[in-house]
Amino acid sequence: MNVGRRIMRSNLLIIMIILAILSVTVWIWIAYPIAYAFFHSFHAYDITRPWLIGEFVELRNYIDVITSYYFLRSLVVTALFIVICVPLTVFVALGLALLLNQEIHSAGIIQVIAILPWTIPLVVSGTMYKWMFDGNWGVVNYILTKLSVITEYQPWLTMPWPTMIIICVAWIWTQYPLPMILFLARLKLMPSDIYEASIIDGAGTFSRFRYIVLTWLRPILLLNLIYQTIIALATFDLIYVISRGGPFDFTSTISFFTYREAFQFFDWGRALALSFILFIIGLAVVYLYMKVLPLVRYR
Amino acid sequence: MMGNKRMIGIIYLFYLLVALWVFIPIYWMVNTSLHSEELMLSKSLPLFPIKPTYENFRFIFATAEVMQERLERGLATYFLPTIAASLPNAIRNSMIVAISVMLINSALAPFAAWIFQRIKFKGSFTIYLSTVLTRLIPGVAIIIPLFAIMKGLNLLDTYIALIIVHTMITFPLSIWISYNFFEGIPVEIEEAAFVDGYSRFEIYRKIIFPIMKTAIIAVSAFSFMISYSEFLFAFLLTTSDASRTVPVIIAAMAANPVMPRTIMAAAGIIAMIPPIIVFIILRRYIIRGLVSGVVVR
Repeated sequence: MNVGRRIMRSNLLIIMIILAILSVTVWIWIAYPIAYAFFHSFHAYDITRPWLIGEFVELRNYIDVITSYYFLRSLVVTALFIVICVPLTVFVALGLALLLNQEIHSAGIIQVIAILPWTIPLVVSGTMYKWMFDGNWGVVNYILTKLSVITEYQPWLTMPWPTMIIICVAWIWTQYPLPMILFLARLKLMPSDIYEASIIDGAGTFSRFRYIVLTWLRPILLLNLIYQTIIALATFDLIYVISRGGPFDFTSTISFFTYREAFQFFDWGRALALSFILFIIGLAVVYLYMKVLPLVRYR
Repeated sequence: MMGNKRMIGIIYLFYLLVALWVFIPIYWMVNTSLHSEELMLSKSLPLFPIKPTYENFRFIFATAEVMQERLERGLATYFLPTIAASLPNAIRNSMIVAISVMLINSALAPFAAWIFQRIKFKGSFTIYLSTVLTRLIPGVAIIIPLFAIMKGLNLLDTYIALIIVHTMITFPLSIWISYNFFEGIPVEIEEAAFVDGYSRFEIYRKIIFPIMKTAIIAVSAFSFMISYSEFLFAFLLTTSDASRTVPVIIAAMAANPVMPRTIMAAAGIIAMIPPIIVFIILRRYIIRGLVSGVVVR
């Protein structure tokens, strides 16, 4: 890094400006709310009992949340959701990016088409999936009965596993465009000569992919996995729109309960405690990824 | 040659499947939007819009007129969300906020990432990591203090509040994304250019900027879409037409006692158009092979 330092030595001013901008945009705006939230997670903040607000309760909120009826269950649901959705999203995105990177006819139009699901507001795409799988008027029921796969209309969204699968399909459908764009941009940045050299050296399609393309994409792969996990941990809108956490809380993830504590039970102390538990889980997951998939260092 | 042709055939087949998978829900949305709400409430929709009606789109752009007509003809109006009238304005608000957020992110994030990547001083990685990890806090944990700050600064229901908050939630990731784009771009190019007597400005312009351009496109697309579709903060920080964004209006429609499905589908289609235009513009700047001829170790 010596040369890098030499290049930038006299640009200390710019560094200072950038760090100042960073502090203003990120740290001040985030540090204070986080500190506030952390402080209040140790205090009573139940809006239905206003006379208790602000009372110091030590770890009561945390204990209440951990010993609640939903905690373990929602952890399992969250883990299930992440295990199903994250690898599939990243896999679909990777496959699509590799395909869209081919320079063949009409790839440009298909690139735009592939981005469409991302441009629909989540409320609309969630509702759309809900109607398609509706028990009375759903088009999926209509087509399946016409094809005589099923004999009569099924209320898909009252069955636990079908609901989970529908949410996952909708989730992957709405989430794959971002990782796809990132993969695609990184692929476009790939030095073409190493790829060409490998073709001349006679590397097969698979080994070319495994050793060259995948190595080149590794930082973005890690980024996508971590980011997808983070947003899957924080998912709320889609579950709320499609199933409201039902049937029998089978699709209520831990973040869904965070919102329920805040906006349905109005116990903000507990919601904040749950947020910090979620934060710690997130940190653990990021740490795990960093350990399991070592960050590629080229230098 | 044969293998190559078969390969292209497989690629086209896969394209077709993907296009189908992407299209079926979107097609269903278009189909829904072209039927009347009464039909939707009475029975299952036909698979194709044989007799399409554009009433839903008209309702969004001329809400008062359509309501008037329906009242005069004695038709039911209870399921029609009058808030739809705010949608064109909401799209304008969303575009102003999202484009500002996009510009701030794409101007600053790749540069900050480059500095984090190239200059290692004591604690630089800690600063970088702590910036990125702020994103792990669930939004619900920070909405109360943010609301209080915005209220204190008298910024509620303004573009500025939304731009600040959306920048705040996208910026860490923008840095992270661009940081990863510089990963694997060897510092040797910059060194060589430095040895060759390029000035710092020239190094920046001729070597860093092309690489950054890809990062900028990625960051722009990302931050635009996050800001355009963000709901929770937008919902809490806006109260009137002065700053309400598209997701807020559409969620308000969904909160109608009878969910107006066909009108929501039409609103979804209208909401899709601005991001598509932005993507078509951005896509033109993704160019292949920027760093060819460089040894990557």
